[in-house]
Amino acid sequence: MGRRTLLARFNITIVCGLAALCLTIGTAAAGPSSSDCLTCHAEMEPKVAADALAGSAHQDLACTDCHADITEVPHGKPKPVDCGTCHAKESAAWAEGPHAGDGGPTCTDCHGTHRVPAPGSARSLASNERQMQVCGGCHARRAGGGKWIEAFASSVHGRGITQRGLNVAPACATCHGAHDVKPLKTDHDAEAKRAVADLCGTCHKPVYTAFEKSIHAAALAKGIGSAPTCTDCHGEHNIQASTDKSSSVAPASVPATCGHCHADKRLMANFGLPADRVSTFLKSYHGVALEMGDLRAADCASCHGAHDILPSSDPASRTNPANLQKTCGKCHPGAGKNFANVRFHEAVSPKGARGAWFVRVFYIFFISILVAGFVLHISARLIGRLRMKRPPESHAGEGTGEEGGEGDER
Amino acid sequence: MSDKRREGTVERMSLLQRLDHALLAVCLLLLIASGLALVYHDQAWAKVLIGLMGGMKGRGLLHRAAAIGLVFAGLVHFGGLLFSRKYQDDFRAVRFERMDFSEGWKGWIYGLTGKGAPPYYGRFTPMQKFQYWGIFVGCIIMTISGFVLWSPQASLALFPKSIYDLMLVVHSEQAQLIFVVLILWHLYDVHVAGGNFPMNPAWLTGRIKAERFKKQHPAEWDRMTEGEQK
Repeated sequence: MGRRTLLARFNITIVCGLAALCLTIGTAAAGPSSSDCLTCHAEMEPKVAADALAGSAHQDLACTDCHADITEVPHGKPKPVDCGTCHAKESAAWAEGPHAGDGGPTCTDCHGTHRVPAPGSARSLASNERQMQVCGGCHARRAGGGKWIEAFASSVHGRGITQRGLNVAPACATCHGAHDVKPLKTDHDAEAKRAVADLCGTCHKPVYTAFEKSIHAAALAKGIGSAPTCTDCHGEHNIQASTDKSSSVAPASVPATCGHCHADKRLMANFGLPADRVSTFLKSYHGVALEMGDLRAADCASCHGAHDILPSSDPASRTNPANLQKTCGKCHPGAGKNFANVRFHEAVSPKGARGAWFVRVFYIFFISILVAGFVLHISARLIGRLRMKRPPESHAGEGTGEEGGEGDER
Repeated sequence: MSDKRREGTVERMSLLQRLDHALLAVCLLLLIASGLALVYHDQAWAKVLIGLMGGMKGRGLLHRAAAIGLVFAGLVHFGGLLFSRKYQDDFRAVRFERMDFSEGWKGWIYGLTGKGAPPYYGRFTPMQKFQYWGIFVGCIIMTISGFVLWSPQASLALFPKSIYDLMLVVHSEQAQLIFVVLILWHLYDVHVAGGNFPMNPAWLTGRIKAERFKKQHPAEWDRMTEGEQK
């Protein structure tokens, strides 16, 4: 054996030793393997099934990929898993939302632990039905929250999901977002209201385009927070199709919905708008017929339009005098010039329809006088009759019978 | 005239008048019920009435059907004025005369205080004349305004909407006038006043007791018996 051979042997030993060392150090840094974990946790609490991750989004990960603080076995109480290590964006969004903080739900409350569903699986939170279950798990129990969940479940959106299996229908996260869970409060906040319109517009594009042209959208753009956005008329969780009787925009409910603002004297005074539009409508034949359940009758939207509503002063408005003939003609074919030259929503008052007001006052006056005469007439007869029933002195032989003393009946 | 006084009674209404009156009464009551139900649609009783009529559509149909009946009753009345002797006689007697005001006042004072002479009324008392002319004018106003309101489509092709709106007010106010003043007052007179309870049967039998007629319409009695006394 020569020196070269010895040297070679030594080299091999070094390399092998180094390799062994590296391997030992490497293994020590990664901590125990998944099978090491299962050695204990097959029996010991918390028990973990051998296939706990199988089929989940995390099936290719090892235990210590998530339980990263465990470096040796046996171990003490582990720290909570920090999903943000991998899912940094989602974790940051959650930290800014209302769920973060004491007692609020963390990742695992919604996503589960080991069996985090793979995207596309039925249990994935991308499934709208699953969102309703998961969010409802807490929100159906919380004050106020139960109503939202119930209202949503019976809404046109909720029924789309549960009854028709439409995954395009929006669920909780579609509007509120998933991790930052926006409450979407819009009270008198034009900016927030515009965000709502944008949100609804992501699905309802043609409606959004029409709404953008309206006076309501223009007011929101000017920062007027009391102008309505989608939810002010349609509701939020409880949105129903306008063909549904229970909808706030069903024909029979439209006057009350519009009246929510347009019959509010103080609010209308802010904008110099008349507050009697709803009351005058309700007294009109259209209003009465609608109230009595005749759905052929015009409601507010029949004449004014719904999403693209404009003031009558706007030439593009349906109620602009130039367009009235066409607007009325929708229901009254052959509507002539007389439709164009009239005042609608006119109260019978000295300031409104003066002629009709005068006639009404005349009748009220006339009827009152005649009723007073009637009452006087009956009283006179009763008094006369009582007088006649007294012991006859000057009227001997008269007024003794039931028919006596009466002058003027048949 | 003796035929008008058989068996101690006097003819008050001819058969045609009674039929016309019955048609008028039925139609007016249906019109009032279906019409006031609309005017007072927000009241509970009106909702019940509208329900009984089969909703708004049934209410509208009933109102229009009764309106046709009323117009027909009016046409019969005018036909009677042209061709019936009884109608013509009554129409002459129902005209207001100066005497109605003085006798009416006398009658009221007499009824109230028992002083003075009993009123010397003719075939119709001043109150009956007032009610006749009230219904006469009232029905004409209701018919004209009613036909304007019948079809908004047709009316708005002919008149401006202000006329339509005005007719709406006239129609509903005149209806209340007819109901409160004429119908209630008339019903009081023929069902309650004097010895008429439970009702004066003249609208069915067409006849009135001679004794009562003599007391209530002495001028007409004297006129009818003039020839015999001489």
